[in-house]
Amino acid sequence: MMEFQNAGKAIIVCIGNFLHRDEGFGIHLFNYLSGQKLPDNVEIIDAGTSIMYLRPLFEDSERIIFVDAVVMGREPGTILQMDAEHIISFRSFRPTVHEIGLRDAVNIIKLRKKKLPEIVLVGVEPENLDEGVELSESVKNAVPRVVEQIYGQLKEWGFEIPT
Amino acid sequence: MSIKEISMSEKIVVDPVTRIEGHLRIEAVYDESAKKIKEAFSSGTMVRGLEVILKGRDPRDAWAFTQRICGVCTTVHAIASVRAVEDALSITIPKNANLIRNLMFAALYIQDHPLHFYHLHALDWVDIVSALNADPEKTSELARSVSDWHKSSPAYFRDVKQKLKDFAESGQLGIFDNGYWGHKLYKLPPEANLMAVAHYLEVLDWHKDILQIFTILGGRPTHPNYLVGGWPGYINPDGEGGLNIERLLSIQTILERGIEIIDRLYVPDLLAIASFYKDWASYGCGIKNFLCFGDLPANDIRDFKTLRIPRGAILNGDLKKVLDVDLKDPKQVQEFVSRSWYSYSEGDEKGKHPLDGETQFKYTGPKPPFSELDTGGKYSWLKSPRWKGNAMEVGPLARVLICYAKGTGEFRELVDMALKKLDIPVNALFSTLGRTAARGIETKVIASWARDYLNSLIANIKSGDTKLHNMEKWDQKTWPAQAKGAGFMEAPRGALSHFVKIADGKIENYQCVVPTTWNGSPRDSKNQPGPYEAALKDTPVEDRNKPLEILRTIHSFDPCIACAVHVLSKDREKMLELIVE
Repeated sequence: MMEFQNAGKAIIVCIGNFLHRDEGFGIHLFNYLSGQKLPDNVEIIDAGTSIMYLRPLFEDSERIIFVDAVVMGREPGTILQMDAEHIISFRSFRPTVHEIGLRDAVNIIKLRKKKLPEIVLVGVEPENLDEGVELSESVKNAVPRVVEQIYGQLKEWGFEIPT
Repeated sequence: MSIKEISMSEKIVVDPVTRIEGHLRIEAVYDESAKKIKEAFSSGTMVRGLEVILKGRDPRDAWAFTQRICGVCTTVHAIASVRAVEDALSITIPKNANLIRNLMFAALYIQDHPLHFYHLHALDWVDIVSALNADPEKTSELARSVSDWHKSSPAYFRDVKQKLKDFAESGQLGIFDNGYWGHKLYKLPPEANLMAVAHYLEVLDWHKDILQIFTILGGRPTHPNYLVGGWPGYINPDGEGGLNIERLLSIQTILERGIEIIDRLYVPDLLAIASFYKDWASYGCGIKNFLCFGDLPANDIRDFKTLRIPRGAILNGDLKKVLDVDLKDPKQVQEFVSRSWYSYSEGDEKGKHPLDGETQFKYTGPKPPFSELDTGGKYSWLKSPRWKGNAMEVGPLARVLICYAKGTGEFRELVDMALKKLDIPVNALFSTLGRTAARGIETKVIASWARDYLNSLIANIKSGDTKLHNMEKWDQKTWPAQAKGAGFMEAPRGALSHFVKIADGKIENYQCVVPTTWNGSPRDSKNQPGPYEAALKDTPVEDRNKPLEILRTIHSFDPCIACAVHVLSKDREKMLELIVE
């Protein structure tokens, strides 16, 4: 069996709880990207907060970009990028607010696969996690830069961004 | 492992409790000489505020918002929500829609409970590191004595052991790094540990399969689509699109594979592991009050007599008397905030029925970071729901006991079989072990019921009935100016209820009373502890620095805090990162 069923494919997994303002950043980005042209072999997924449950669906991909709000104590709107080893290096700590989420999912993929897919997390420092469905200004302003960051990563992987 | 703080006092603090969704904090007063817990306090350390978001919105959209409360209990909030609105507007859904909802319900149990057992709870009982010492030959013998599952050869277990070894030698245990490995309370022989690890991996593999049911029926593997008045999409028996016979038959295949996982892996493993931990039938008892709203209606959800999982309440462990429950009676279900960080306009001591519920935040706790909460005052973001003034446990044990007491389906037979196999009395069910066993038992029964729902659906479609929605009251003009409704469902974690008040076509008030609020609730105005708190009392703790016993009991409830509270991470740790300017 091939190591990846979907060789050559990349997925963008948008994570977040839409009901808690900036916590839903990934979902807002999903909605934005849904209206954009993407390369043929790139799929976007609205994972909500079901990362653990969706793991089987994205572990066959060769390249994964996770998009999420990441609480790191930086200026709100700061964009952070990290790879799989960084994601799983947090021990008793979760880089995202989804506890049985990203870190465990990455670890499970690691346990099951000899070769880990290429994984990149693009995160944004949230400003406001209260109840509500609107992004705060600082995080909303980060959207174009995050999109640029994602496109940059896709280009690095050899995908052509349609204009 | 979770971050532990040993404070100056005798309290053991576990915060956060790991391997659960969301954020839960347990403070336990420890009796050093008796080596057991004197009393415990459960605190959901984050807020809930969905009501604020829903106010003023179209009630037909509420399900899509409520479903986003949690990524684990996906689907359950959508069902409770559409039922609440249908109740308010007196909408009856077509037979096919009800069968599909029941099928989704059963598929959720098939998916969710084994995942909880293997991936969240088993690590409290299974020592991963010990599995590295297992003899594959003996593991094979053990596996074959427990179940006729086909993957049980020595070569298979040798492979699994090697995989685990490679993983451990890579320098990190990854997914397994948050356990108290080597703790002397782990009692399984290495072979049983290896068998459990192998099945952990099997269940991970199978998980992809079961998710397809949600995609076929609900259009998405998680957060599936719902519709007030029925089910979205269309039935198209012989066509290409929509719900056709081909798709229904593929559901059948997926269901059968799921039933096999439950019958040949989950239930045999559960009983095999439980046989080494019979002492846990005497810990974690809790309050012995149980509440179940019921689910799986024959046709209309309001026809309570036809609910296949019956509705009822048990007080003081009296299985001879199942009491009637009425969700809309203002005197029955009430939420208290006397020990929670909320205030009520008429004072914090009086309970409020959710239809008249209020969500006014009033945080009086210490400023983080702090080492201890003031558990003498308000100390949780969870409210305290009570039934006729009593704290109640909800979830698998509540359902199984009520079904057992009422003689529902195969429950009595299966419970008696499990008790006999473990050689423990009925009273032993009121325990950590009983709760974990109940989860397996109900999964087995409900999985077998899934076949009935699918067969009935296929038969009904074949008879020519393809109706999927009732749109008579879709138009807001047909609605009364004022309406209120209660929707309920038995989520895998326990009784869930949504309450909606509609005024002039818009949501005026919306309250959710969720399973973890019942089970994880703080004390109330009468100082009665919630179920977690009661269950931890008198639990022995061998090593206060490694409170495995606390995790065993708390995980037996399958806590899901995300829906009870909202998410806010204060954790910050140094990391290597790239800052994008």
